[in-house]
Amino acid sequence: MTERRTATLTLLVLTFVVSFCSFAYEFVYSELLTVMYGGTVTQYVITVGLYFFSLGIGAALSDDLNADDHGENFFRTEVLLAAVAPAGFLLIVGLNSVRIPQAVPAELLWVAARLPVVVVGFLSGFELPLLTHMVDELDGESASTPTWVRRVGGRVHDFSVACVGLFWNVERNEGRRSGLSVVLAMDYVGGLFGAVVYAKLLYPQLGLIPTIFVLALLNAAAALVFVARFGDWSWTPTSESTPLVSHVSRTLLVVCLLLTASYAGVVATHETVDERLSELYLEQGIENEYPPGAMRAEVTSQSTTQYQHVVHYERTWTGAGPNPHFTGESEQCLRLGAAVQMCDSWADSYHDGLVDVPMSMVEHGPETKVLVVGGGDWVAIDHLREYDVTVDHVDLDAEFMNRTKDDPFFSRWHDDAYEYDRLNTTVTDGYRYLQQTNETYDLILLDVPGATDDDLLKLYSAEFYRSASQRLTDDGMVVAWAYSADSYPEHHKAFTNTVRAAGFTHQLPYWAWEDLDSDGETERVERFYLLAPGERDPLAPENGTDYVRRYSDRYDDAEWRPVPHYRGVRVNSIFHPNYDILVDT
Amino acid sequence: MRRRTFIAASGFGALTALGGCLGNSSPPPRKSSVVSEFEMADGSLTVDLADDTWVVSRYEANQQSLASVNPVGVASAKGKGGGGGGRGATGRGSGGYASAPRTRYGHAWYHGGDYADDWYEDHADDVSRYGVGVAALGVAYLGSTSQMEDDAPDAGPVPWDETFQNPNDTVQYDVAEQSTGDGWYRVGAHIVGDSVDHDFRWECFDLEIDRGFGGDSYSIDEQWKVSPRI
Repeated sequence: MTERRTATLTLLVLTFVVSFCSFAYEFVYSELLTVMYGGTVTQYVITVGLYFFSLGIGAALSDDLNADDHGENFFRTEVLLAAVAPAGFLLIVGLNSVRIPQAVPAELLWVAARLPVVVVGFLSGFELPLLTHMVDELDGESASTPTWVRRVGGRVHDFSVACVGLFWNVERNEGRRSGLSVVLAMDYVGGLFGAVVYAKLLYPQLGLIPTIFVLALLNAAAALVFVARFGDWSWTPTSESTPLVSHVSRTLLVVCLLLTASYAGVVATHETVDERLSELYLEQGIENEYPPGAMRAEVTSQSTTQYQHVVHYERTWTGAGPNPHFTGESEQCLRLGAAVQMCDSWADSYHDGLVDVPMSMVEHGPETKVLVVGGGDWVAIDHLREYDVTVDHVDLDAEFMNRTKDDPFFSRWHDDAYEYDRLNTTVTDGYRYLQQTNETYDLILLDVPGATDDDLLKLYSAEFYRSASQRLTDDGMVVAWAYSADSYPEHHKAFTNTVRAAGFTHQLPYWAWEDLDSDGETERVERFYLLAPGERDPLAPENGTDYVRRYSDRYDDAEWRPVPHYRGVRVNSIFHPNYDILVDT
Repeated sequence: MRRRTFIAASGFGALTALGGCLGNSSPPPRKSSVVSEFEMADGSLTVDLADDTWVVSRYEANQQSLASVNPVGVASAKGKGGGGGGRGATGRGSGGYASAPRTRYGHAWYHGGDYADDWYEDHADDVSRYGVGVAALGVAYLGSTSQMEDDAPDAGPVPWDETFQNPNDTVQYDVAEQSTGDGWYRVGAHIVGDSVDHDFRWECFDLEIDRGFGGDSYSIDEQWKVSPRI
């Protein structure tokens, strides 16, 4: 009898482990899909929906598995899960790394990227019915449920019945618990632990790549424990005549052993594996932004702050013709996540556009108050220092701001601007600052990351821009860089309608210009918009800053225009987000 | 149908349907009439502008009188090179080249795809047709056929080799005199509202110009209309 109790307990522990893994796999996929495609809510909701749907399909089809061999089918399921889950992870990464022929429909790629979710859900759907059958096969009330489980279960049951009794008429059922009820209970407990451990330990401490291998290792180990405990060679057979696993394919066993050993190796060296795989993915992603063979990317360092993944890399022109992107063969660049922030060739001209063009339209001197939202690299502050204006600076990521003070890549561009004596830096969320401050500004510069992530939706919301509008002086203006209307048409229309709804009636679009590749021709660097809640004086290049005068012919035609409105395009609001404003989702 | 067959079929169908619904919902290219014909003769490309130029847009016109309409500048047509990768449009988003509109040549083109008609039917109330004028017309050499297959630019203006301000009915561009020769060219028309103060940006056309065996006769092998999405 004791042997049976131990066997049942082992099955319940295995239920806990496989459920833990199954839930955690889906969280890994949700986050990975969010990283790859953006749109946190969309990815999590679709992943959870597909997972439960696939669970149902697997559970429904589990009746067709051979009833005489639940043990081997369970072992097979776990080995498959251990093999498929990391493979699915790599598939999603691969879909976003390799060049997919343009003839491949986007819908097909969408389906392919969700296949791992479905396969893991489908295989997990087999687990509960198989475990339930096996627990039932172990037979008998006292055998199927260990004493301590029954005792704990009884207490929980008493408490639950008491709570339910507050609202309903209840009659406590002292009858026997079925195998299904205890397996189901352990499954839910395992799911809860999977969620908590993933959120609090695995993802923040290890990151996505090691996490998927830790889970697969657990799955493979669970399969080995199962087959060792319940196989016909078991040192503690549960039944003299009918072991739960009567036959195990040797090939499958070898595969399981190999997987376990491989994953153990990966987990033991997870930092190296994580760094190398991340580098490969990032480098491939960067190179794919150019024609095949035109640019080589090499990640030189990467680190993570509380808010951002900071990647330094070198890009090298390897194309056949002259390099149209920058002077020379190589240059240093920086990305936050997958989004490029700064390269040597255009670091200066970008900030010329952000700062020196609008500074042509306001007075220079301490009376002029400028707010910089973002700009943790301090370069915009350095440009503002030239005009002796008073600067309030708001950025969320103190760790990044501290790093950039001494980082050689940044310091040659910001020239220790953080020491500017008219600078007041506040570490807080830009949205919250604009909501709370009573200051008014002649210029608000939005040096914020691109709209690539749900977390940044509020920086592109009507509420944010309305707050900015309300914090302007009578002649004040907001400056923002902008995505191309041709490359990101849905974002552009949603953004335009959003700023219009926020009260901005006039816009002055312009480019930053520079000869990036030293070919004697001036090139466009970046698109900017000056936004104002009313009419403003025109940009007069002849009275502008040195930069504007240098490219005066490029600014002769720049003029204020009404902010257009596009029909059928919803405003992005914090409580009613328009996900079209996110790019590449 | 057997129960399990039904379950399996419905599972596959649901995933495919989800892919169809969620995979790509981009609005189609906008409709327009800007250029009526391209013609090659004696090494010269002739661009015939349409008599009645118009564009369909989701832009909602303000109630403004014609007197308040100002000419729209063409600053965005100037320059060459198109930038080496600034923030935002040229790389800050994670899209860029890899996520360019996926058609044969990486473009959207007129009526681009089967879904276009459905979209226009579903959004009939959201679109209007506006009369437009051509503020400028630009011509640029994009590269050889193989270069274009590998690196087709997005819809929209490119650094123009030559720009014609306020063109009349026809524009002529001498291909034979260029050092570039045969390959793909982009012709772009910067269109602005006739009766509304709005910059409708650029309608573009990509032409594959081929030089015959003799080397003197040029012809247009392929032409694509490259429109921004509406």
